[in-house]
Amino acid sequence: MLSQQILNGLVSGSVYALFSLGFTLIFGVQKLLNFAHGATFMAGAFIAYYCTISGLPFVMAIGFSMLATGLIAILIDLIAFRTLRKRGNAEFPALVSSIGVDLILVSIAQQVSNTQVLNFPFGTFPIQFYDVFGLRISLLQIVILATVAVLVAALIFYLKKTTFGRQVRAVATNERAAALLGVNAQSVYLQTFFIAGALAGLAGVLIGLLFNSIQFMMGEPYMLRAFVVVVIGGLGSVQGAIVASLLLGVTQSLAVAYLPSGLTDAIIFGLLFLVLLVRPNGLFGDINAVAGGTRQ
Amino acid sequence: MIQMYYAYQPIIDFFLLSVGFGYSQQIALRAGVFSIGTAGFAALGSYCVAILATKTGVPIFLTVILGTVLAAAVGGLLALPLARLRGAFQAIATLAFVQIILSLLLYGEGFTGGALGIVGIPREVNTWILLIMVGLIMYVMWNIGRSGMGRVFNALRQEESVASSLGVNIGKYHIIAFIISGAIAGLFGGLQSLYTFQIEPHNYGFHFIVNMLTIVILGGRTTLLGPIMGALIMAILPEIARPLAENRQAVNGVILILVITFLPNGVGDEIVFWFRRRKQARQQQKRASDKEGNDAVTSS
Amino acid sequence: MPSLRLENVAKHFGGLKAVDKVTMEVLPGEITGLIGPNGAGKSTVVNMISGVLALTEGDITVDGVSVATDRADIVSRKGVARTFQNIRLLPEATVLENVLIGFHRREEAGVLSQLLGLPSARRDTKVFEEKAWDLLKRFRMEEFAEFEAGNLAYGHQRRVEMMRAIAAEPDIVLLDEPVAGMNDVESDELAVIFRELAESGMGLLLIEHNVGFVTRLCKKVYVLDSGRMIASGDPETVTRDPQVVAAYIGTSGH
Repeated sequence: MLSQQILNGLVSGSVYALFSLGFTLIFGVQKLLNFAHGATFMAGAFIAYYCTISGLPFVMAIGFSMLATGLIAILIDLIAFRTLRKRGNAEFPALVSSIGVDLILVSIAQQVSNTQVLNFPFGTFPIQFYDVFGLRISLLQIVILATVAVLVAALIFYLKKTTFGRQVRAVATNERAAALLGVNAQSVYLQTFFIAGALAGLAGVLIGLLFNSIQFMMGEPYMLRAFVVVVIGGLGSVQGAIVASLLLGVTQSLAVAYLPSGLTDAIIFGLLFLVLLVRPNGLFGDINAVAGGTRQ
Repeated sequence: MIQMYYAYQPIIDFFLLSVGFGYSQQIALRAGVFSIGTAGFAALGSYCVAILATKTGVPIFLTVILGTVLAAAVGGLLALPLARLRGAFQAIATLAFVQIILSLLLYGEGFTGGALGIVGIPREVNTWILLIMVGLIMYVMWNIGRSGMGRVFNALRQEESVASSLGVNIGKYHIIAFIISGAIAGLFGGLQSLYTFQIEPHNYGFHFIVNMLTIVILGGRTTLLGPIMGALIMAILPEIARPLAENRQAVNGVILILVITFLPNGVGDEIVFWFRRRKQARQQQKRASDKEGNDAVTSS
Repeated sequence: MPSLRLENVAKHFGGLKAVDKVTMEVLPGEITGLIGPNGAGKSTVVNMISGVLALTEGDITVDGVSVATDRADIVSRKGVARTFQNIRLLPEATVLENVLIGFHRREEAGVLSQLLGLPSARRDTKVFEEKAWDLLKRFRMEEFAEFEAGNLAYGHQRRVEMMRAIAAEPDIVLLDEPVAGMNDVESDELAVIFRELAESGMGLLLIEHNVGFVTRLCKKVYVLDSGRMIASGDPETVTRDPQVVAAYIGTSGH
């Protein structure tokens, strides 16, 4: 029973990772919180749903959805962040304007879906269960774990080993210095937003499948969980986000199973508080979270 | 006149409550604290009053005072860990605080009524009481603006290192800002309880946070006029056109993006600044003409 | 009036010794100079004294009491004020408001009387406003009182920083390149004010790139190069010191 809960926790944790990676990537590069990330996630599920019911093969629907959410994320950068970034000191204004984008996207989804809960048509994904060492695991869970593992590995490879990765780190450390070295910050921003959006979109599709429910408000709890993940893992840290996501998934699944169900949120957000108190920079964070006034 | 008042009374009351919550949100931002904890403080005040008023014999005015004190105290306690944190982290932590409060309200069913909330709260608050309370808070905010505290808040918002180099204890003033923000939200949360008959956790969720942020961003973060202008526009907009009322959230979203991008000070602050600049220009002119006059005298 | 003393103060950033075993003193009623080429570690010294950076080694004392581990606001409360090399004003505030915040540590009214607008709070504001106008007159900045500080010319911004730093009448003032970017007339005006401040008993530490300005004003000059103190003494001796000459010719040749 315990190991079954841990397995289920790891599956949802891996989706959290997919979702949080994009969020933390944007923060790492721009030092800005993109609150519309939750709405991008929701949009992913919606687009895949409407593609599927209009007859597109599911794999293509996913691909199209990721492309579309990648573009939505770029649009978010253009609309909500670009002007503010130029003005400087954009931390708070960007949070506000991304909340604005979030509201608009959620509103559109509400109109489109008529405030209804949507489900992927029966048979969109084969329902099949396996027994492994006494654990019950579905084909969907296996596919989710495998997909996330591959994508995360690819992303880490991309960031650590390629020219783009070096450019991202250069811009993240010092935009001006990076510009002097000939790095085009704009193109780095576009790429990070596209990757972040596509990953969030995929996460939305996977969650829509896993719980067989898609609705316009679905991004909000994930957005809030992404905050927990990035604070525990350290804002801007890729490894931290992965570890913290899995940790959160397992904690949540155990809390649901063994503690009064209504307390899950209180526990998760209490955990966030605890980490902020003990390690304000998170477990792996290198971005300084502590306010001025203390000697450095 | 009287008839007009009755026709618009719900809007006026909604406006007054929004102004109150708006000042709670504003004082935090004004001090450079990225708190969105106002929703949590309002929930505390509102539930404190609702529970005491429906389940105990505590006099109504005392329940409001207790609700205010509770929210202020929680604000102060919350500030202890949060005062060490920086912008984005502060925002996230206050958001977590609101989530904890909401889930505790949902969980403590026996006490808080769970998702259904509390009904049958005596309706003790009317427009006049709201008006007096808004006036009271405005008086306090005006005093802050004219005192050393207002100067410190302005300095913290603009350049923390400067404030610190001049002897400002940053942590202490963040705590003060949190306490004031908590007290104001707790007070108006309690008033809202006594006004609306029924409260539920949902009232203080994401929509509340967004509405308060919209009011202060739209109105302005530093002047007395800010929350008033913000709340006024947000109260009137749905009355102007039906589509605006039906798509309230999307309208909020568009306003947030446009204002923060193109009018970052907000409508209310911009109006105040415009008058200030005009006054300065007049003084400048006067000084210049005085000087010319003097020069003419000395040269002749 | 108390003096400021640095004893074997060092700051290492990783393997780099930005400041290495520096010992120096700022006496009340005197203008002391700290010069050195760019990157010599002058601003690091200022940041350690004023509580922004932690010391790797050594001790800093004001009036014999250590301030080496105090937070910036506590150092300020103990009577050490500073200006910033890269000017830091409150850009949205007017010049007058920028100066007023300088009086913070002289505030007497409590939190509650400020919230309720009691007479003690109003008195604070009134007294500070009067003193602020005196300062504005002294620095010939009255006509800019109502200007937004962010819109001022460079030289005027520097003056605002100085007024703000000396508003609360500190015992020691650290002036980080106060005349950078000013013309001779402007810097001469400031020199007069600096002398007056010293005569009133304040201890000034003048951190400068411009050797000429320092040698004219200072009684004692310290020279930093690559984090090490290479010379100290009266200006004439120091400027003739071959090590100092080499350090300066080696760089920009002032």
